[in-house]
Amino acid sequence: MHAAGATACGGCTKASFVSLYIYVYIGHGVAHPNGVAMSKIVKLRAGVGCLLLLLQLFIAGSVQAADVRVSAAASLTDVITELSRAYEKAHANVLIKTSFAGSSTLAKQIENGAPADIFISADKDWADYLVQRNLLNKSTRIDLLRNELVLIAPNGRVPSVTIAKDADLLAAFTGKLCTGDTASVPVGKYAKQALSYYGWWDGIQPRLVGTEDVRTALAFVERGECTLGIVYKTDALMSKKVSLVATFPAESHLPIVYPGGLTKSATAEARAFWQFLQSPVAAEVFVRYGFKFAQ
Amino acid sequence: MLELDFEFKRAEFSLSAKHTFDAPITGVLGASGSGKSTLLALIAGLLKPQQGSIKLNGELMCNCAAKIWLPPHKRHIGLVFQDGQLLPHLSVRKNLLYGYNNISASQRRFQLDAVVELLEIGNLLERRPGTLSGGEKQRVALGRAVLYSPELLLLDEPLSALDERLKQQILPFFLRIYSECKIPMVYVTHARSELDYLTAHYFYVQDGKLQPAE
Amino acid sequence: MILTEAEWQVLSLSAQVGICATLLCAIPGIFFGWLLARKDFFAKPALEAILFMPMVLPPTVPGYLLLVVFGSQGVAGQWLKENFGIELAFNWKGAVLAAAVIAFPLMVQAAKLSVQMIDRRLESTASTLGASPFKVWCSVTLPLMLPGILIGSIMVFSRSLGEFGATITFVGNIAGETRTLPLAIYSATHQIDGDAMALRLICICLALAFFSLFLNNLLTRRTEKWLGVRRA
Repeated sequence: MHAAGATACGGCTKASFVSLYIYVYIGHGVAHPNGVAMSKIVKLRAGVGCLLLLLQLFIAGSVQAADVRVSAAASLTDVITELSRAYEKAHANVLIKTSFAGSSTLAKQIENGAPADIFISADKDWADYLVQRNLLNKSTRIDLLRNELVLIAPNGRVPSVTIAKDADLLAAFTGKLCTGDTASVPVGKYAKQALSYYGWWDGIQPRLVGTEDVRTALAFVERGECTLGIVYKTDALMSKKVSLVATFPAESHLPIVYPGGLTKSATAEARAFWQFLQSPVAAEVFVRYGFKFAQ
Repeated sequence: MLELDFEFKRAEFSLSAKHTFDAPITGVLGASGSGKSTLLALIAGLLKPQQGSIKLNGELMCNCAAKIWLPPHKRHIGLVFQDGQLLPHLSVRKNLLYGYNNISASQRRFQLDAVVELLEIGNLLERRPGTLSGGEKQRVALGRAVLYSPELLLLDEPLSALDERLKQQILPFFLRIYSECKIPMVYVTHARSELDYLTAHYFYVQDGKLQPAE
Repeated sequence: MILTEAEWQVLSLSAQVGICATLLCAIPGIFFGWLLARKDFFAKPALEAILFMPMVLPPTVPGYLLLVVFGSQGVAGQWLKENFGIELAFNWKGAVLAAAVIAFPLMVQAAKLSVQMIDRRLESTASTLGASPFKVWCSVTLPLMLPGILIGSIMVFSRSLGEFGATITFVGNIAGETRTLPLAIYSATHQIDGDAMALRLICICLALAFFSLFLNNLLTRRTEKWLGVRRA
C-alpha cells in the first residue's frame, strides 16, 4: 500500500507540474498575440489534454515492474534493511520496499489487501494464518531464522535477576516489565510461555506492559520507562542503551522461528530476492546481527 | 451636580467637555456618531479620558493628573441603554433587584413595590426578558436603574427603538421618576421632540465638543 | 445486547477516562477561551497558536512529548512522583492526560465562541449596577457561557472516547489500565479470532457516539431555553 502510494504520488507531482506548465504555456501563447482573452475551445482542449496526461502518468506511475515489497517482523528491521540496500546495489533496476511492524499487524494488513511480495513472521502462527487463507504460497514457505529470548534492563540499572525455577522474579525488581502484547505479538507470546514456565505469569500481570511490536518494548526499556523487558537477543545486541540481564533457556518457550515465504502476487524479482535471503551471503549478515539460521 | 472637564481621544474620534450639569434633567442632543454615547460611557466610567477630571456632587470620579480613577461599579451612576440590556437569564424580578442587591440596606432609597407600581410593570415580574415587548423592556430597565438608588441616571437614547405611540406612552414615566424619586438625569437623544417634553436645559455634541444650547 | 466482562471493563475505563479528561479541561479551557475572546495582548497570536496545536499535530507527537515530560524519566513525571506519589506512565491517569491534551482545543474554542457571543454591553450594564468585575463574571458572563461550555464538554468527552494515537504512545495499550475503546478495537483486530469482538466493540462505539451527540443536542436546547437565549 505504501509503495504504490509513494510511486503514484511521485508520478502525480511530475504530471501536475508538466500539465500546469502546458496549460499556462498554451494559454499564454494563445492569449498573447492580440491581448484577446483565450478562446473557450482552446482552453477546453488544453484542459482535457492535461487531464489525459495526468491520468496516464498516474496509472503508469502506480506499479513499477522492479519493486519488491517485503513485510517483515519488527525485529528484522535493521538486518533486512542492510540486506536490501546491498541487493539494490548489486541489481540496478530493483527497488526493495520494506514494511516493519509486529507480525500480527502485518498479517492482518496482508489479509486486508495490503500489497506484499515477501512476508517474514516472527512466529509460526501468523505464517500459518496466511497460508490457511491462501495468501502465502505454501511451496515457498521455509523457516528462515532462529532467535533467542532475553531479559533486558536499561543501562546502569540492572537488577540482579536469575532465571531459574525457584527464583522470584517479582521480588527482584520494582516497576514494569515490557514486552510485546502477549495475546498477539510473537515476542509477547514467547514471553508468556517463558514466564509461565517459571511460574511467574500470574504474579507479573499487573506489572506487564504489552506493546504492538518488539521494538516499541525495546524503546520503553531504553527510555527507562520499564525496569525490565523481554525481547529477542538480536534486539538487545542492537541497542546501546540496554544491558542483557539473562537469556531464557530454549526449553522455557516454543522455538523462536522466523518462517517466511512469497505471497500470491510475488513477481520474479521478488522470488530472486527471497532466494538471495536464503543464500550464504545473506547468512553472513544475519549471523553478524545475532540470528541463527534455521536450516 | 456633575462637573465635566476632560478631553477624550480614540483613533479619529475626539470629545472635549468643560461644563457643569446642574438641572434636574439635562438633555444632550447630537447626530448619530457625534459622541453622545461616548459621553455617557465616560461619565459612567466605562471609558477613560486622556486628560481632565469628572466630579459628581463634589466627589471625584476621575482625575487624570492625580491618577485617581473610580471604576464603574463604585460610581453609583445608573446607565440605561437603548435596548434596555436586561440580563436574559434572569427573570424581570431578578433583573430589577440586580443593582438593589449590590448596595447596602442603608443606601437603598426605593423599594421594589413602589417602583413596580410607578412604572406599571407588576404583571411582568415573573416573566423572562425574552418575552417582553420593547416598551416593557425599557420600563423594566428604568426600574432596575432606579432601584440601584443612583446619584445620577444616564439614559442613552432610551426611546429610539420604540415607535411614536410607545414613546408618548413612556415619556411621562421619566418625569415621574424625577418627581417621585428626585434622581437627576442626563438624557441623550437625537430626537429634539423628546427633549422638549422633558427639559429646557440641554447641550449639543458637535464637532467633538460639548456645547450648551443657546 | 449483553456485554461480556471484558467489554464492560473497556467501556467503564473509557467512560472514566472521558469524564476525568473533561473535568481536567474545564477550568483551563474556560479561562483561556475567555482570555482569547476578551483580552488583547502582545503574545496573543502566539498563545492562540500554541493552544490549538494539538488540533493540527498528528496525535503521536503530543503523545511522545507527554512521554518525554511526564514519563517516569521526565522532569514533570519525577516531580509528580516525588511530591504527590502520582505516576502517569502506563496507567489510566496518563490516559486522562493524553485525552485532555488532545481535546483541550475543543473546549477553548467552544468557550471562546460562547464568550464572543455575549453582548459586552450586558457586562457594562452589570458593572454600572454596582457589580465588581468578579461579580460580573459570576453573575453574567459565566451563566451566559453555559451552553458553550456544555457543548465544549461533550465534544471533549467524545474526543476522549476516540483518542488513540497519543494514548498508545504515552501510556501504551494495557488491558484494564489504558485499553480504552479505540485501543481495544485495535487489539481485537490484531488477534487471530478477534474480528467478532472487534465488531461488538465497534457497535458499542457507535452507540456511545450517537448517545453523546443526542445528549449534546438535548442539553444545549434545554440550557438555551433556560437562559432565554433560544436561537432560532
